[in-house]
Amino acid sequence: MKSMDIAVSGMQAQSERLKLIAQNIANANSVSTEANGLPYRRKTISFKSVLDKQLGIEKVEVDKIGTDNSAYVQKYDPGNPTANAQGYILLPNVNTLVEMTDMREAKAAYQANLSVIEMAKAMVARTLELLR
Amino acid sequence: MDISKLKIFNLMQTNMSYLGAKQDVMAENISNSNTPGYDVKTIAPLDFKSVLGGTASKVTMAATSANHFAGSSSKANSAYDVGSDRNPFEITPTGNKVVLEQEMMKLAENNMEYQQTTSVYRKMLSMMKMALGDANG
Repeated sequence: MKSMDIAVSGMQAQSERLKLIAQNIANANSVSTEANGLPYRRKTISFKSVLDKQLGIEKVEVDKIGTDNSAYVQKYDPGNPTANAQGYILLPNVNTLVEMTDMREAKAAYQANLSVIEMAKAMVARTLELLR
Repeated sequence: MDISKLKIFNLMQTNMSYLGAKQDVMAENISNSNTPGYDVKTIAPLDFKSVLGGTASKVTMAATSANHFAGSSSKANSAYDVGSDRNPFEITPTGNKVVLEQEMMKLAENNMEYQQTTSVYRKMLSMMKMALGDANG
């Protein structure tokens, strides 16, 4: 069943995405420890479909892992040793709410791929049952 | 005895292989549900008339020499007509045209149809066994 191979590629891509989301959430408060240093920058992921020439099917792959170039969040914290002259420190441009939404989407897509495998398995099982 | 020579078995086998191909198409759609710019694919319904008439085979290039390769297009791997959906239900801002719910529904439908076909297949087999004198058929 080719559909299993396809679904597996989809699951791999989604788990890669989940890995990146986890990385973003874990680093949501990673500030710089140096005076004018920059905090963690949010990472983004995008997928592309690639033709598997051997099987003649379109699988999914991670296209590129990029960075979110939006502005950092500023926080007034004059007591912080890394604060600038105005007393602000820079926080990562990670919005945990966005990450959670992304996570849900990745989960839904992963589950959908899993159902494809289950359906394919059921179909093969049915075919084998014809032997009985 | 080759049971696929019997028309009804042949038909059911065709239907099963079609449903298998359909499953592959839907698997592609679902795995690409987050790929930017991905066109949702559809498979043309099985033309019962051509299956029954045995004309479902594809047109192939004539080989005038034994050294000629059989011509194959990108669609050669699939005996069925797979194309992209002309009017997708929804397009995301990234240009993805897959609606996951719709695909899941089609997948379940496909699975049910497959079950149906295999059930008929089994029934036909058991009928034949009964005719052969196997009471447990």
